[in-house]
Amino acid sequence: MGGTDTSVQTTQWTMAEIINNSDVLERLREEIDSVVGTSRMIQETDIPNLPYLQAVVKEGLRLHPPFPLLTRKFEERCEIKGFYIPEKTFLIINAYAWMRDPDSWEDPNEFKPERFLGSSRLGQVDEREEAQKYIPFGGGRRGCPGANLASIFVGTAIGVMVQCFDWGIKGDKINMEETFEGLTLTMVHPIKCTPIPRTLPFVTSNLQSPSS
Amino acid sequence: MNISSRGAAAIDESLVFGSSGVVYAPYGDYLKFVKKIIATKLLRPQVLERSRGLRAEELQRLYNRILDKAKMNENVEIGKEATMLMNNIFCRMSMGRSFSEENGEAERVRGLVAESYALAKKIFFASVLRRLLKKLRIPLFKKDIMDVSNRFNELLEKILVEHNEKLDEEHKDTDMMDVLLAAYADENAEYKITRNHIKSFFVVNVHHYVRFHIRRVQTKFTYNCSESF
Repeated sequence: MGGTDTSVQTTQWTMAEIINNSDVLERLREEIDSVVGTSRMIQETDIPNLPYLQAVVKEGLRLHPPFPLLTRKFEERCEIKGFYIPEKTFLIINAYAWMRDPDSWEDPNEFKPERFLGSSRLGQVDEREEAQKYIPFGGGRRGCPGANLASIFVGTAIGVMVQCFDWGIKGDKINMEETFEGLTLTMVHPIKCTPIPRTLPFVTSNLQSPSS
Repeated sequence: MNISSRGAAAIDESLVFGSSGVVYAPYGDYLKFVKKIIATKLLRPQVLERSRGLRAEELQRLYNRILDKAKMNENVEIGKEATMLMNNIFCRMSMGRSFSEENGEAERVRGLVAESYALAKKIFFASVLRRLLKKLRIPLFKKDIMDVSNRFNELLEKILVEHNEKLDEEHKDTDMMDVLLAAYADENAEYKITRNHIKSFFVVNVHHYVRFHIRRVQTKFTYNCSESF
């Protein structure tokens, strides 16, 4: 489905989780500093070499899917496990609850990107199992075609914010209260924080003047 | 068994929520065609590689904006910064341009998006409860929807014309709008798309434009969605 807003929400939620979980922030920085270094800014081509960053984005999407409700319609009547489903039945899937189901996820409400690091080693069976329980982009023929691209957008945006700045917030934790406006899941209190540069400024000379 | 459709759109002729839009179109030839175009022309690795430069530029701009705020000891709203970043990237990748802040175009788009978002939830329930609402003779917000839709139409028509003019120059096949316009002009295309299809495609795109700025204007509708179903 649409891209801008979903990527924005995901970036915001994930940054909030990172700021609230200092161990995640530390580990993420270690990874970026060792792979990218401190003399240049993170770029798209670094993402494949940053498994922890990828896991952080995935975990952000698991806890805060921008589209918490997926909808479908049955074009034909059918029977599933003994239930008769008439034609034109409207189907709503609660992806939010699905991805916090304690039967599928250990500590379902905790932000633990590590959970996605283990699975990549175990191969295909695990991937198929994950495809069933991890549905932030929907699935099937109506699934989001831009899933990979979205991960790049969000990954680089978060990468820059984590690599280049420390973030000061008011109080101890960011308020994670949710609201379901329009059809996306957003923060009741959008994060406001103070950036403190932690690297020497990166300047590129070929940047055109801002167009908007 | 086919459950790939999204359910009936509330107002079929609306650009925003109608059946020519990608989101509510039934799973059929049009959707297959658009999906193919998206996969081959917009999201193909070679194409993404070509647009890598513009994304790097926008990322650098994000960095510069945050750095400026840091120097002045100002707060950063992460959602706002992310919105600017993603919008610029999306608009440049799909329409080859970003909406200008100077001539009020960006503001106009924001207004339209605000209005259609305010309608989004109504539409969602209207399509779920469509038959019931019809039975009870409750109108499906048709007037509001068509009003927003028509104004979107105007804006997009302008961009389409602008693009068509540019097509004659060397600017060809560079963004999604060019690709769709080419498909529109191609008489041998496997699926004949209409001008409405093109516009609907971008409404979905534009629709996600600057959502951040409008959250305050909207009526709050807060509930914990894990409890609601």
